[in-house]
Amino acid sequence: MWRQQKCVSTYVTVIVKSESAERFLNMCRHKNIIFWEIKSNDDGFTGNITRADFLCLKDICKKTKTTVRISKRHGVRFLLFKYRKHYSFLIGIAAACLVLYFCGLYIWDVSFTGNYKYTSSSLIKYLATLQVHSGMKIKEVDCDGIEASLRNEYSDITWVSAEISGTRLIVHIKENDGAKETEGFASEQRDIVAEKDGIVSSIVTRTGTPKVKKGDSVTAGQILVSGIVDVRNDSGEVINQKYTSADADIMIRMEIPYEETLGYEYEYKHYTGRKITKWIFGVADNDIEVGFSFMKFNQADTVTDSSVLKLTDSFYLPLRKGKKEYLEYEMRSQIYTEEEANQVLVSKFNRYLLDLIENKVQIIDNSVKINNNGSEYKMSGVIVADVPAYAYADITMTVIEGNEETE
Amino acid sequence: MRGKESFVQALDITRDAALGMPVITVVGNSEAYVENFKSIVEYDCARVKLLTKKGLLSICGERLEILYYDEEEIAVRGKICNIEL
Repeated sequence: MWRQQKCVSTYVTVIVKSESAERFLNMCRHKNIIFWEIKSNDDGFTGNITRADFLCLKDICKKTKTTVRISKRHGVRFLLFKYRKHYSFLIGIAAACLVLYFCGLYIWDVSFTGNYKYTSSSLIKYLATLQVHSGMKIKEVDCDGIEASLRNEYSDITWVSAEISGTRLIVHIKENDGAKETEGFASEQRDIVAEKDGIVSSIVTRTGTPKVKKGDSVTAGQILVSGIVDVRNDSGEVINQKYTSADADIMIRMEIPYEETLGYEYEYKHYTGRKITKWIFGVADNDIEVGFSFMKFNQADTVTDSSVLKLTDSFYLPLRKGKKEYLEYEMRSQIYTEEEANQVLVSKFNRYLLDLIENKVQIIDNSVKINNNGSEYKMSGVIVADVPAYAYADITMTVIEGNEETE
Repeated sequence: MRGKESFVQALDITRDAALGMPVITVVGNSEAYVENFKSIVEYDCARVKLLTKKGLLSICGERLEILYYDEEEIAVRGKICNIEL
């Protein structure tokens, strides 16, 4: 309790002179007047007491014949009172308020949430082309315009919401979750056609007329599911045709060739361990580096760690601080051992397979092998996989023979 | 009083809560916390004497100072040499 008061409220350090300091303290305690950090001296003690409690001591002092004298005042209230006639102090406060007010008129931080595919830096670059950037006036920000522009520019972004919070522009984004794009054919009449050559390994038709069955060989461009559905009468004759939006899950088994080569020699960065650290201070987009070193590096990586200063979570200031590290390195070349080369090639191959799996490709088999041909390591072979290699196309109109006859 | 003590003992209630017995906590030889004290009887830099329900409690040492006190507890800081009850 007393620690909180010490930090927050105004309090005074007092020198208490009393013939019976114990009685004085007991009476204070009885009236819930709290002293802290009490130090005994020859004719009493010194201690800390809050300003409010100090004003209640009069009766107790009279009863115990005690004198209480303030030796030091602590807290903002006393500070303001002390400097009340120092006009420079008041001007300083007014100037600080003005600076804060003007800082509050501009955007000092642009951030994005919900973006996975597109990095924040690429989105910030795009917004810069729309004249939306850190340092612009808040009243000039057109949130609706930003939302519309982002939706038009990035087809994968399905929902955008831009909001201004304090001096921040926060753009909330929802990206497409990876479902196959229907590319404008969703509500129109369409066929499904093969994108690549292969053998149909599975076909589940929801809408439309399947033109192939499991095990059929197909070529690129061939219609797999037609959007035309025949309407037949009781005797099985086609009396009409209905145009629909074909919808199906189709997997085509195909062979995907894979080839990756790796030279014997490779270069890598060898960090010497020497580094130069500099502090950076930035105002708006301008950075100043503070620090000096006699070392000079020919080749160095730069690692920057900076943060924008803020008063609250939403009130960002146009000031930035951080540090920049220059890590010296030198390029060295080395020869891969066979084991290392195998590891590198296998990890690349695994990454490639993972990419395929992420694109809904089912891996059935692979015959990929590593060979050392004397000049380089080569990983090559064929991956057998079920691929959703189909696309949507405009419906192919056909003429009903029966209708011709009736006309 | 004796009857009250045996009643508390029978109910297995902690004595400090039921009878207001002093609770003394000592941290090393630098800090002592006394709960349930009645009043400060004597205070100087070598001795802090407190009145409790069990009689006088004396904390002796060097450079003793009262860190804080409130209705329930008092904290004494300094080089504590002995505590007598």
